[in-house]
Amino acid sequence: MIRIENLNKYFGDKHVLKNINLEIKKGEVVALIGPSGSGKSTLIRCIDYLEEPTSGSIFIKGENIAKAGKGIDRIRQSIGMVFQHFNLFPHKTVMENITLAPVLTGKLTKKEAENKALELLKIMDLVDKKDVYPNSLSGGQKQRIAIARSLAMDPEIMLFDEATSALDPEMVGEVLSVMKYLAETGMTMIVVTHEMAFAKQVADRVIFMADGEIIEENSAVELFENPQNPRTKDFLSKVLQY
Amino acid sequence: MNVLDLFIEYKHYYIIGIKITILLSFLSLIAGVILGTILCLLKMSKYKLLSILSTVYIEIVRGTPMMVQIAIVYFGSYVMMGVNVDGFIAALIAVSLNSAAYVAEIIRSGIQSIDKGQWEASRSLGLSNKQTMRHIILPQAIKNILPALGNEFVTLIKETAVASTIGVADLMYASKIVQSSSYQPFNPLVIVAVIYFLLTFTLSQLIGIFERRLSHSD
Repeated sequence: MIRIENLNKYFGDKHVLKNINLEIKKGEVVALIGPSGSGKSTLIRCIDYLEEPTSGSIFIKGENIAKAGKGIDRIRQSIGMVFQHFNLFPHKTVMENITLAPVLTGKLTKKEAENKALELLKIMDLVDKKDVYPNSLSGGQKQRIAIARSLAMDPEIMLFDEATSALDPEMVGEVLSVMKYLAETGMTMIVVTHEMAFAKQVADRVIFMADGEIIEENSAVELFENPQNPRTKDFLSKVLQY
Repeated sequence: MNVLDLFIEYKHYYIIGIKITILLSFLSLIAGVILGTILCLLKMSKYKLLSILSTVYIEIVRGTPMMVQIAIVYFGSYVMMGVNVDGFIAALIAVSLNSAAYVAEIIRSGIQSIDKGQWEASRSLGLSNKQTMRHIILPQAIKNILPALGNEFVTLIKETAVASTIGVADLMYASKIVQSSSYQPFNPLVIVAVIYFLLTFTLSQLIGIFERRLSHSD
């Protein structure tokens, strides 16, 4: 589904991704963990081509995204991205936020898109909010709307960039449970997260990154209970000590 | 003659002056918005040459006095092309070209004030650059741009006073006529200052109301 080969990314002279190689299969849920500044977010932003890799290639379903040109829009339609700060469109209602992309890209008619949006809002338990503007929503509600907005495009891959980091603690759960539900439906997911319990419970595979490198990757249980690399051990001992 | 009597006696000069000042400012603003939009697009273009040309134009216009610009258009059109341009037209051209530079910056900063996350969210959904600009960025940017354009209108009302130097019968010109026909050097200046102030103050208040209404719909 996703193949990353020898990916390098520099910001100025800062080497933020160092020769990343990674393959993610259809239906797999991968959690990316690691200290801040380790390159996790940059890595998933590269997958959606929001950052341009300095060198190396990324293939989405066999297609090299750097060589897609205008075709990047079509590739992005099959990839949903959920951001830390939600990035809902403040001048559009919840319904318009969700229906905008499917209608503009010609994927659905307005009527179909609205039906689809209602279906998604039902899953998110937010049908009553369909006509309000994002401003009046709580953080947890905003993030669930943002997830619904991505899902309206029927993506095959969902990327979560610290989707719960900007939320008040009591709202983290409602977003995580939506993500868990998605994982159970067989969605291919890459989740950058600081929620270790969630990673352990939901991810098929956990990747530990530090200083722009993949230090260790393994099944969730193995990585959390039996980390091999000293840096992984050190990181886990710090985040799991409470 | 006191200030009030003076105003009543010469009021038809002032009325013509007000009309000319508002007309010149308003038409220049409209032309400025059209040209400024084009300049802004050029400046934000991915083609370096276009962007540099636009930047050079904007910097030169913003870095020279409007009085000089008006004189260059008015006298330059005769010296360089042998055409005798009407004062009002020359002022209109110069003020429009001047305003375009400021408007370009207003639009650009309005667009750039929109959070980068809005671009990213829209592009990540698979919308094109153009669709993002049209449906996501511009509708939000316009809320910053419109009030700033109102302020530009206020600025133009004041700055077009220099058009009187090439004989355009604007408000400032009316004041000069009253000075010389009434033999009063000072009072006409008080009158003209009050009129300018009333024009710009009223306009600023209207912009304020409009701005509050825009932010209400957030």
